[in-house]
Amino acid sequence: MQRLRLWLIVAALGILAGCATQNVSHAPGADLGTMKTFYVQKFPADQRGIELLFVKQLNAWGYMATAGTADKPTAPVDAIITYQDRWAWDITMYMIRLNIQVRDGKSGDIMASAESMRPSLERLDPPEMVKEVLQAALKRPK
Amino acid sequence: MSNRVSLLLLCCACALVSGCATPSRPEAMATTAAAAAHKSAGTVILEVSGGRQTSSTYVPQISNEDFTTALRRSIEQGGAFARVPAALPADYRLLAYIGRLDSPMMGMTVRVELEVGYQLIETATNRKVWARGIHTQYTVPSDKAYAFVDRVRIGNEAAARMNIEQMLNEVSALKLP
Repeated sequence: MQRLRLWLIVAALGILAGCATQNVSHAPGADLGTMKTFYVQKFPADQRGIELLFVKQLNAWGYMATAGTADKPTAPVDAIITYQDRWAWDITMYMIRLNIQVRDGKSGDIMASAESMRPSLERLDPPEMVKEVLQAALKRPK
Repeated sequence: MSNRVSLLLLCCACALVSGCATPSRPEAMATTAAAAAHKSAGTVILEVSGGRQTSSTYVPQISNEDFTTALRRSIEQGGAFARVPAALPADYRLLAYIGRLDSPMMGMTVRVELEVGYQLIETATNRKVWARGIHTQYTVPSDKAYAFVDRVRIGNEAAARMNIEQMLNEVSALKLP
């Protein structure tokens, strides 16, 4: 019985702990170096205003960035950012996964995508996760 | 209290044991739709990027290798191109960039969204003949499979199949020589 209990505890820790992973990829021939203006398209399921965190981070790096719910911005931009945030509960709610796609401002085609996956014990605040995926997608130094 | 903790631990253990993710299968991603409306006499090589290997502790993914195999099978079966050699020389290069594969982290009904950016390049001139991002989605009902990760895999495969089918229809409409 004691052994079974120990095995169950190990299994439970395995589920709760996990490993943080980051993934990034870029489309063949994509040139992200010339981008200066961005539009962040709000993820319809996002009730926490994550799009504003993207705008804040991009502005902090010196880019021009706006956000909205429309598919396209009112003024032309170099790139459109779409994202999907996923949340989980462990004592408190936390962002477990954040995916972003950097799209061409004209065609809407994906030029880069990045993902940060952070289980409970390696959780980060949303602004940090936003910074993490943007850094990877835009190839910015850490 | 002790019973409750044991129950919670047991649930976690069950989740761990039952939920090992398996990769999306190429044979299930390949389209078996009717022959291409127009068959090019040219040859094409495939270059897939953006895919990921599946980790057993995460949700199923689509790897570059498996998507390449699915593309090859679909092209060979439908006859959109005469041949799909493994390397150059070839008349065309078909680049496929898996830019987005999104599924929930948990849930009963699983909706998978897939977006692939395609570019078809004529190798002789290095001219881009066609380029398009194709977005497909598929919803897997809860009764389709017992394990969540299996529902995600089924969703991945269906979204990939639809994506390849749509791409082949559009390439066929180009009426390439």
